[in-house]
Amino acid sequence: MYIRKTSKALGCKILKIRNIHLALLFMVSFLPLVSQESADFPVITGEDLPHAKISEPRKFTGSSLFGYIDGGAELYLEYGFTEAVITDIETNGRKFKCEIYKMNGAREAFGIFSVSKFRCASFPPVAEFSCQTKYQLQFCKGPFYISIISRTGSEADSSEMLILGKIIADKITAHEIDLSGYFPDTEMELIKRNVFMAKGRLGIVNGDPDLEDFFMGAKGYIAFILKSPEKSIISVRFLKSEDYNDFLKLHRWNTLSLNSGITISEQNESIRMLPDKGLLIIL
Amino acid sequence: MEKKYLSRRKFFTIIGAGGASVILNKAAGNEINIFQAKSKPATNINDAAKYPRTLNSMPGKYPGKVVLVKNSQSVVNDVPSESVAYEMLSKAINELTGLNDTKLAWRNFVSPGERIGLKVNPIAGNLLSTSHAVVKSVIKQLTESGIDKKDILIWDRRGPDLKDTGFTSENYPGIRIRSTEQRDENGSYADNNGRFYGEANIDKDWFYWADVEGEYDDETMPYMINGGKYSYFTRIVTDEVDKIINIPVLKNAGGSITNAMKNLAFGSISNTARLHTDLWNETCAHVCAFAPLRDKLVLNICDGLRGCFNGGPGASPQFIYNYNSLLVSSDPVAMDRIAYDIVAEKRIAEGLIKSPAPDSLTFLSIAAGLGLGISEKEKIKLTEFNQG
Repeated sequence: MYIRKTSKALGCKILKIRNIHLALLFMVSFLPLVSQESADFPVITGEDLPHAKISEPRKFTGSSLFGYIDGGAELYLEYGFTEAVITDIETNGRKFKCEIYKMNGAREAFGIFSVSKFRCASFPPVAEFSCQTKYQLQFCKGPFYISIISRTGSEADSSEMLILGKIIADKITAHEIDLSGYFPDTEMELIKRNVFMAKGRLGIVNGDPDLEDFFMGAKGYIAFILKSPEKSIISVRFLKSEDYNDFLKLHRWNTLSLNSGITISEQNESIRMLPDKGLLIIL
Repeated sequence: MEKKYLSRRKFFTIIGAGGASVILNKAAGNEINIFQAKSKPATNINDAAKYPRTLNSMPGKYPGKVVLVKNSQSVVNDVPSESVAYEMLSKAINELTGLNDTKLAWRNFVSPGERIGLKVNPIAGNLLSTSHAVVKSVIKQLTESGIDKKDILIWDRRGPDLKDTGFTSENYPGIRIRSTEQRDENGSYADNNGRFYGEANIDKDWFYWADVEGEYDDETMPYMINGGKYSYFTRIVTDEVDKIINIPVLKNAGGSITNAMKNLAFGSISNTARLHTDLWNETCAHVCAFAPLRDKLVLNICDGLRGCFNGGPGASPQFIYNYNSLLVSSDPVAMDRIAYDIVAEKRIAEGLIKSPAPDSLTFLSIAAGLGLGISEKEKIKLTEFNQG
């Protein structure tokens, strides 16, 4: 037996995380299983920027993404990738590379965005989920993940990137994934900055490599992970019972114990079973 | 939150690496026996050993010896400096060979009349290609040591990437630029008969077979050249060069790195996409064990002036970092081992990982088992210089 049932023993730790548990319970309950519908491809054209030089778009569909980013394509394919359109844009004497990736849905677009951003300098309002650094503006909206890269990293380039980003964002009618219901007691800014989504090993490795072992051998899952320096809160749902049971076996968690409430494993993991093959785990 | 799942991880590591290929390298007879485990697709790695090793075979003249030169002035305003790179390279080559004459040092590896291929890495585009500062320094030192420009060839798998990153005849007058995959001026990868230009550039006498089917749509095929279970070596390595100088970029890739072994292996064969998922480690090592690479690679120069510590092999600007470093070794395995530590150290400093993951070195242990170099850190002789 690797899990001891918790009652009084849950004590302070569980009280502290109670709100988060409830929040994540909501989250999993409302987690959409079907991705958002696709939208038209929001490329910038000469009509948007009459004075700009815009290269012939390079298009990559499905596994042809290997032709653009080689092994990096695997991450996109793991999430669920449809098509990428790459253009070089020169406007006002400034050069940019604009990458638009259409994923299978808003959730997948958020997934790629969530593991691609790093130390954002700002979160400009071009979209709900955005991240700007010296050389790059990234955001996701609907099924699209967008990356605009500047050559110089200058302030003028940063301003121009926002203009380009807004043009693209305005063309996307589909909405972002709604995370607000998932973490009702947590500030949205905190969620935006710290949650990542993974559907497989590569997503985990890119989002938090230290969790690779935890998910080793797991398959058929969708995990939203809220990272903080102290702990990681994982809400994971499996699409198939078989995969769900395999995951429980992998961790040697006892189903009967889990059924009866929150349990804490020998490795101090707090686990709660959620409806529809879901688990809430605090590490 | 210090969590340990070592027992399970160790189990998977054994299955994934050791279990996949238990390798006995009998030095005396150069006989290699591979026992393929059921958990990994079978490959034709046994074929590699059919060709006897030569004096030039990996790990080359200086097994286990790696020189690291650092210079904080090597990148100015995010642009690598050719003059500084030149000095760093001279220092590294001299130290590696134990000579004080750079021209003589180079002649340890190449001779006039030999056709020399410089394998660069342009996959990440202008953001993070092998730098012109390093490549031009290499060419300059080669010509200074008596190598004719017409015998030097810059190559990669992908023609468009070479062009986009400035590896063109205009930028390198007198130097040949070659690629396996080629695109014409109309943007097509195939001729009027629908035949990929790349088909003429692969050598079907040399192949890496793996029991993984490459099945691609029409959009993907131009980048693979062929599907199926065979990955053919490019004629660039089988026919067109006598010596290879490998010039990768210091990059993270997933939980590991993409450096000397990956640059050479995946850059030299067709039909690669199928090999990423289940056979990444094996491919990095196995492909390098075949004679066209094993016996022609003479030197590895890791361009670590600028590199990346996350993402990769593509490049995201926020992960690009000026390592200000140049690594040089004849031993690609030893060099990758040192490169891994440099990247891992940065990843730890950035809070991306808490500690290096032993699994990340699987491809190196496989390569070491094939006799391609030294993977054990304690057996590597690292010499480090800081030029300021």
